[in-house]
Amino acid sequence: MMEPMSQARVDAPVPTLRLPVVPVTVVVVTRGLSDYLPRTLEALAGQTRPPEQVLLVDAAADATDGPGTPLTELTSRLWPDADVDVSVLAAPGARTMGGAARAALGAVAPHARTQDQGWLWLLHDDSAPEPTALAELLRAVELAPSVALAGCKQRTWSDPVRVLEAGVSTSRFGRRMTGLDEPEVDQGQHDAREDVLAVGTAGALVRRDVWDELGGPDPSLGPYGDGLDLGRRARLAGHRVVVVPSAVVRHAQASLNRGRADWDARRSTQARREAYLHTQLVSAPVVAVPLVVLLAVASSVVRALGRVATKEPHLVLAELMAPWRVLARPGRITRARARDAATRVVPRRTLRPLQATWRDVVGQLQDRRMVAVERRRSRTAPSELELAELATLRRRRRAALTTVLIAAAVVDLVVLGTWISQVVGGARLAGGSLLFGDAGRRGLVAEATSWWVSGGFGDVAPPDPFLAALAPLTTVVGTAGRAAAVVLLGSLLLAAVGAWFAAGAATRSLLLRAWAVLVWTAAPALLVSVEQVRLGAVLAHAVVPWFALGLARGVGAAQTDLVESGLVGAARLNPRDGAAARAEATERTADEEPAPRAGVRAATAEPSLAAAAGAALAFALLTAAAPVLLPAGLLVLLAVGLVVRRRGRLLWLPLPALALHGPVLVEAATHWRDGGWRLLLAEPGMPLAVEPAAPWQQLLGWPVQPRSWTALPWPEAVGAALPLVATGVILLLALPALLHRPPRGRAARIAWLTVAVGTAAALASTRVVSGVAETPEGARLAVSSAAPGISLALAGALAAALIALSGLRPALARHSFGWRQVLSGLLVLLAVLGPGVTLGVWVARHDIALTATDIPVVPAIGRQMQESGGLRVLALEPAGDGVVATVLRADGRQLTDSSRVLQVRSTLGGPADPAQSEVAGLAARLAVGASSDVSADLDALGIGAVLVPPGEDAERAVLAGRLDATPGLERVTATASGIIWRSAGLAAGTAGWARVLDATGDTTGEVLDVLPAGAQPGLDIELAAGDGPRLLVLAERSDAGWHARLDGQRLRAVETTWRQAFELPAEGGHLVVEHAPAMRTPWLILQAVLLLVTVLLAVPVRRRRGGQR
Amino acid sequence: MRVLAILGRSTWALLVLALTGAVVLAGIRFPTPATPAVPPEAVAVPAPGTVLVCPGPIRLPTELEPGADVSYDPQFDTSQTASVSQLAVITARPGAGGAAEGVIRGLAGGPDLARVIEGAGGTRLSDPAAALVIRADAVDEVPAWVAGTLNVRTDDGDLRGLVAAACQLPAAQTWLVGGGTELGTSARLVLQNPGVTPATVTVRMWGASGPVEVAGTPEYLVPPGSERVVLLEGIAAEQRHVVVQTSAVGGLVTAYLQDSRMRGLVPAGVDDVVGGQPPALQQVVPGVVVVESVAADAEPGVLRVLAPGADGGAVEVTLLGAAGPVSLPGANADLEPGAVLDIPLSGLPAGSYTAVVTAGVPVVAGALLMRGATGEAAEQPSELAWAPSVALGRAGPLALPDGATGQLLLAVVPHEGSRGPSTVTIEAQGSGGTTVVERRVPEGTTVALPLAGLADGISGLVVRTEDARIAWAVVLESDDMVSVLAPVPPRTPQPQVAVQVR
Repeated sequence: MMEPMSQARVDAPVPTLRLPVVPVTVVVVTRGLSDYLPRTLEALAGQTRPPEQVLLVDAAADATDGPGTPLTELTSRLWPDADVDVSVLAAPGARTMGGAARAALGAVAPHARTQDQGWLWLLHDDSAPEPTALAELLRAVELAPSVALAGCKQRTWSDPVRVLEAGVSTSRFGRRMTGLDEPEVDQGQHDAREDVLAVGTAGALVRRDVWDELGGPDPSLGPYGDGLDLGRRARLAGHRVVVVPSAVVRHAQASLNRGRADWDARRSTQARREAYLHTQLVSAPVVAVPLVVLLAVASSVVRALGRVATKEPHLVLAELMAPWRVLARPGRITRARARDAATRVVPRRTLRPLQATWRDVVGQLQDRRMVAVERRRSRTAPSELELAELATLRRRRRAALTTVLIAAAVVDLVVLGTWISQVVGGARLAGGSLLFGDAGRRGLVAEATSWWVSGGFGDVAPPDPFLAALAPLTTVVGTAGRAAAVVLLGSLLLAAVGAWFAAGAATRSLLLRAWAVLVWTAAPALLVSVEQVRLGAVLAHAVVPWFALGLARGVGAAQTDLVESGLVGAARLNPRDGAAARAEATERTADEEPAPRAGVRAATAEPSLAAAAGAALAFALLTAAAPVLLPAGLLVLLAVGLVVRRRGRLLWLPLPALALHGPVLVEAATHWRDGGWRLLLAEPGMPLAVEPAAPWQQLLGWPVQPRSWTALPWPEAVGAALPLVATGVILLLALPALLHRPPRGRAARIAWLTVAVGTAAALASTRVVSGVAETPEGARLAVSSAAPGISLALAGALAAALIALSGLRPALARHSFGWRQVLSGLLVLLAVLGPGVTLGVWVARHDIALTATDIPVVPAIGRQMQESGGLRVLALEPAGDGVVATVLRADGRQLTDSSRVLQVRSTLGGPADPAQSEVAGLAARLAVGASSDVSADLDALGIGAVLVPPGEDAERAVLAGRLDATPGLERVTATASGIIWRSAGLAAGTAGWARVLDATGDTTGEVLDVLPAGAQPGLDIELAAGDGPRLLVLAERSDAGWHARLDGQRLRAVETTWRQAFELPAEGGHLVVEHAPAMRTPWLILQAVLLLVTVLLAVPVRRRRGGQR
Repeated sequence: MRVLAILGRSTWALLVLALTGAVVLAGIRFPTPATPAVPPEAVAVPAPGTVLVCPGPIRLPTELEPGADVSYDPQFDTSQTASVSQLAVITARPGAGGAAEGVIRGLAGGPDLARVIEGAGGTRLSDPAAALVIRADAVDEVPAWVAGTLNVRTDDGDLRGLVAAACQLPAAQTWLVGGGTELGTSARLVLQNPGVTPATVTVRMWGASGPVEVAGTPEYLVPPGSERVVLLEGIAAEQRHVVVQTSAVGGLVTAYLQDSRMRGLVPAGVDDVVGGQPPALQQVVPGVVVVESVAADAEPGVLRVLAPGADGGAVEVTLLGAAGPVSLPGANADLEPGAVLDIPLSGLPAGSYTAVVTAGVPVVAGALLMRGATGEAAEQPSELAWAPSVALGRAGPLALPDGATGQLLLAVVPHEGSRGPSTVTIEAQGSGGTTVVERRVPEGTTVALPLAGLADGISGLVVRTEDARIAWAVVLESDDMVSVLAPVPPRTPQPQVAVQVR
């Protein structure tokens, strides 16, 4: 323990009794006999200028008066003589320092010489003054009679000696500014300070009459903000407040810091925040109080989110609660304001010169940041040697990553280059299970949050999570179609990137990571999905590695490079470090110079909250792309939760995904018995009629039966078996991992469990009818793709194989050359050849069902109708002895119109849909040639035009001829998009998304007016008045979620066959029609909050460490 | 301890592997479900009404037509007095149901000129002044079986000859194989729009040396309920052999070509070319009747073939005679793409034939029958008739004019897959009621039945067959005049349309 240097103040004149002695009463507040109290009292007793009266106030809850307590024993030992008037007082009710002081002063008779012109010296139990402290203070106040409050320079209690505080100021908005951020080495740099806004209460000397006038610090404050309050009010009462740097107290800050056993970060944060808000509410001009209240509440939300971002979730509640706890006691604020007003003699603006400027605030923030950076740097790499080692490692890793990515990009370009160039040229992609994605940023968000699937005649269904999954990428690239193109056309590269980083969690060997990239990129689950253009499965394959990586890092199972100090060469061979470390060590010692140098070994990284949150986001994305992985992923998480120690955060991990799927899951649960459970297995996008592979082939990694390899003239059976062998070898390599010791063995078991769960998911997907596929031969029921489940299973197998292989080299090194080495060599050769040849064969023979076209599906005239009026275009295409009728609401069928819920519903059968029947009847009439005017029927369906897509067949020409001859249709143009006919209803003004009908009839009444819908089904227009009651008929299926309001007045819905209709009064007004089911908003709020919090948690912001703030 | 640990790990290993195996076994136990096709919605549609548009009266190519810009000089009108025209219309029972009734109106609508009812010798209208339309609604969801024939006989003047043409169903495309625009030959293309929407008709022409570039834009707007006449010699002159395709946009139209020829001042025949079958690999032209000619320079006729596509190819012509297929000397030729080829029928023994044209590329075909001396120096008037190609195996009615003489030709076109003779039921509507004749036709032959032998005062025929090899037509002959009547099969009933709504 180093005694603070006895200052260069030895020559300072010690106050003598020259003048009438100013009586000083010392108030020491403690809670019982604390660890610091004896030292504090000793220091007090050793003052060069002893005080006249000492009041030791015990604010402990069980404090008692009277002799015999430990405190009286202590005081009687320190002040044996009666020279100083020492009293020990109990103030069990006092919550704060100020309260305790007030209680003590009220209870004890003032010392004979301390009438009302004396001084009070406030001390905490943990603030030991230097011997000259009181003398210095008194000297300062004697020199300047206007000073009513003088404070000490506070230093740390223990070594090393640092300055904690030398007067306190605030910014204009009340932010506490001490002028020093971290405790600083005292080089006298703050000794020039004098006038300050406030001083800390530890060691503060207050004029007794001022104390009485102000009534001490605000009783609502303390331990935070009381000094500030006292100083501020003293200033406003016309007194000076100074800091006396030559007077020093050593302050342990026990009530603020973690030194105390009952310290609680959450409570401390909340109390500090409450004190700040209280002060703000008290000190603000009365007109600004409402604004301060609003700001307090709003900032609490922002601060809470900030706490989430800085990975301090335990402080979130404190931040949210603080303003409400302050506002819940308005009495305290009014009382404090009254006190404030009573003593204030100078205006608030006089405080301004004492407040910190913006520049000070910014400067302090910058300093703080730089200090944090410096500290972090010194923590990660304590020496140059280690820095160099890390740099070498990083360079090699980057070179390997670049090589791998370039290779993946080349393969991607070779296979998908033609589509890439077309898409870059502005073409749109469709084919396989992919539909056009014209929805822009806003459109996609609107569809992803809407309960109304707007394709065709609309239908009510909870929004598909897949649309939400596309939203982030769509915000970057503009349209959903381009987002889909990025995922599809960059699929091989995306898979490679993910595999590289995820493999890094299992092994630090660059060769093994490159091999993992090869296996993952050559996975048939990916290649087949690309061929079938299954966007969901491709996205799932790209996301699975990130989920695995986040999970491994989040639970602290990921491997990372750890720098070892350079002098521990022997320790590297320590058997406890595990196989991987030995492998690294062996590798290094074998081929590098024996000079002492820093070592890098693989070690398990710390569990990371950000990584767990990242895994939660990846899980949400993954399950949105492949919903079958939601139950499968939950099973894997359950298994992980059973073996890891920090399972609390695993509870949060599935929440964003569950919230995203929530509405669909509720739909599945409510219709469970009617087949709603199929929703769990349905996949996004158009279903495809594909025959799935046999179960054992799926286990070996193939979603469909592989085409046989016919390169060499081997028997057919060999050619058929080879693709299965090539992919099945991964499972063989994954087997030895099961024999590893924990913790890697435990990871291997989880990985194998993932294989089982993934295969189960794949098999379940292919065993449940979940959609209706459209084939050239007509519609047929279809099952989902096995690919996402297989991707999950492969991730497990690959993880296990990496665990096994990373232990292979050291294991082999233990034995001399023999059968082990030969067998391993063969296996490794097979492991590389298998995926390599699979990828090569695919590149050579791929057959991708993708078309890129820049010809619009709907000609411009039709697009105009759709966009400006919300009208639909009926596309008729001859098929066999009938027609295929497609009701188009946009330029072709849209990604955003596909809904898993509707797909599953369509497989279940049920009563005929009247809307569907009506359009089928019209299509049939048009197909055989209608002799009567069809425009009224088209109007009723909200169809403005009929389109025959381009084609060469004779049936099309016949159909076109019949449509030409159909009354009510007028041919507009024949373009590359086909021939389009306009309905006569357009010219007559009877075709519209919403029609206002004469209420006398049914929905067949005379059309009085038509109202256009915009891009989204709905109305928000001014409606003119009519002659009598009217009927508003929408060309949409009816649903309870439709609401119409005329000037805020709700309109009554009317039963019709299938169209949504409302009774419309004769009056005009502002008409709003929207589809907003009751459950939409709560779900959206829940999803938004969970996603926002998870995103903030996942943002890699470093937590502020250390410090008292 | 170590043993225990290894034992524990092995147990775990076996457990997870067993779980994986169990999953696969469960997958085998529960096979992939059946994924049946989802049938499209079958929508019952009302059988469509039938609209037949009959050709208008024959006219001199120089005669003033409404809307035509050809100058008219009545001085040269030498013919009309001698012309006798008649529209004959019959209706028949499609099967078990009743016969449809119909009305005859003008092309533009207007009042009903006559009603079409079953029996009683059909409905006759003498000397119609303009094109007429027969409208009949379906009965019992079966489209009406009605047929109309315009018959014009002109004994004198430039238009001397017999013209008989069946009323046609409006179509989007019509292939007219016949006619020419060389000097003395006029091709008067008549486009008729019976619908309610204006139609734009594009005319494409092919000549002997390939597709013909026509003068101006070959697009003609035909207003609803009206007809438009185009003189082909005005847009593409000096084409000896012509094939015309009309494509209508905006409505369905009928089109026919009035082919009238003069040899100097001597009339060389007149006939209406009506639409044949669209391009196909096989074309069947029934009604090729070759007679023994008295004149030395008489030519019996030609078979006109065109491959309208981008490719040419070999074409093979077989003529089915009374005794079986007869090969035509020099009939196997190579078709240049887009070039109209006339294959002469000279050298063919007299008789009734059905021409079967088979080619490697889609072709259209038609036949020209000629009577009388056709040489340049011949001074006697001659006559011609165009026979279109027909669809095979189509039953249906055919109206005959009063006092029709000639023969009904029935042929069984050899076809892979079905062999042997075919039996055809012929119902002849006559003044004394309907006479039913069953006739067996051997494969590969053409059987000729004189109309007079079928019924007294015959007014119409109904040919019923289920065999998809039957081709039939009627050849009207009186004196040296001839014309070929090809049946217009009724619209096939389509009670349901399979609609798949997406």
